[in-house]
Amino acid sequence: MREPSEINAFYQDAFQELGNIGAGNAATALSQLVGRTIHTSVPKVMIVPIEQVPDIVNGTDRIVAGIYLKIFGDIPAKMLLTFAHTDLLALTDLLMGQPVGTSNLLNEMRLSALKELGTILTGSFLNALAKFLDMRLIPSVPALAIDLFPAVLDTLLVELSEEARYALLIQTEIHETETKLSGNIFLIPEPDALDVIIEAIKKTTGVVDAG
Amino acid sequence: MPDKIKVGMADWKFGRNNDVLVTFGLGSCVALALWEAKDKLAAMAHIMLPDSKLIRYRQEVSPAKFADTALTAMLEELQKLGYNKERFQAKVVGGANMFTFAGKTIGGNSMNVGQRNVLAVKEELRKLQIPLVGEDTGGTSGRSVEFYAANGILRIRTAMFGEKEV
Repeated sequence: MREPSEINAFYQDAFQELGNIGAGNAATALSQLVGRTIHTSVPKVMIVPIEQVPDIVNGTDRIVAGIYLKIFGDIPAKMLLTFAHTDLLALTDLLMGQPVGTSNLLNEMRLSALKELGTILTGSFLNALAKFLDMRLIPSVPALAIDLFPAVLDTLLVELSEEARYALLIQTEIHETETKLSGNIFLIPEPDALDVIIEAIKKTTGVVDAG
Repeated sequence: MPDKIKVGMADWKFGRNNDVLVTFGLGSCVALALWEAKDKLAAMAHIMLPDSKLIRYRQEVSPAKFADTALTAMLEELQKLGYNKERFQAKVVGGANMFTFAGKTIGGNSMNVGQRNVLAVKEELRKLQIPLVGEDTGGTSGRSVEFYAANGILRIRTAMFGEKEV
């Protein structure tokens, strides 16, 4: 097993590229779904002691919808999508093909639309990665929590902290310009997955040894 | 204005009098709060995991990270300041289960990590004979906590269910 803290700059760039590939494909899927252009930011790769993750992603008091999926297969990982609580009504309007501002209640149907969004974004994200790395990636069903951001994050961090002292997070923001709606996609590989990903990157890029 | 002292994950802090110890967004994590009434001394840990013996790495980690090591470490430090463990009472907050997958908790374990954290903290309190005088644990909501050294009260804020005190 490799500690995330041992990952050098070359592979950090490679992990960033994985975020790019995955989020790009997820944004395309969402664009088609809502009929609007969705942009992605340059992914941030963070390798930090697990206890410091809440400070670094910085959202102490924000309330978010967090959609959490576990990834099984060749690369065990966690994926978390977050959307600001204040954006949820507009976001579900978009998803349900209604003009933004239609709804004022987050009912069961809209909650289920959010989970479906998680399935679609994660599915397209993982498909792109699976193709690029030539690997098998299987997502769990999504789980949804609307709560304080650090509390949403803490379940994932606690699970990770049984395995390693550091976490590697790949964070990509997606946003729509007209409505200003945005969300974040976090891909957090399990410590056991890091070597697998690095080997796959070596094979894909032809790099023999980058340290 | 009271002084706010932030307690990060896997950390513990103490304060006196007007100090307020704060920790944000406990999900399955647990806040262990100790209070000494005479000198109005408060100490709080933000605990992540029930058992330090189950982790897979051997690096320097803060004892406040684990339920089975946090209390002893806190009491040892407080002892150095002249506070015997007999002077403290405890409150426990947190240990929620934030996510369920199709009705099941994560991880295959019959108990989720939030529940295990709460049980492990209470077991340590029992072993070291610190009275547990208040708790707000379990459920499915995250909690932010403010712990007032002046009176030993914990104010708990949730995203959807307002505030309460223990």
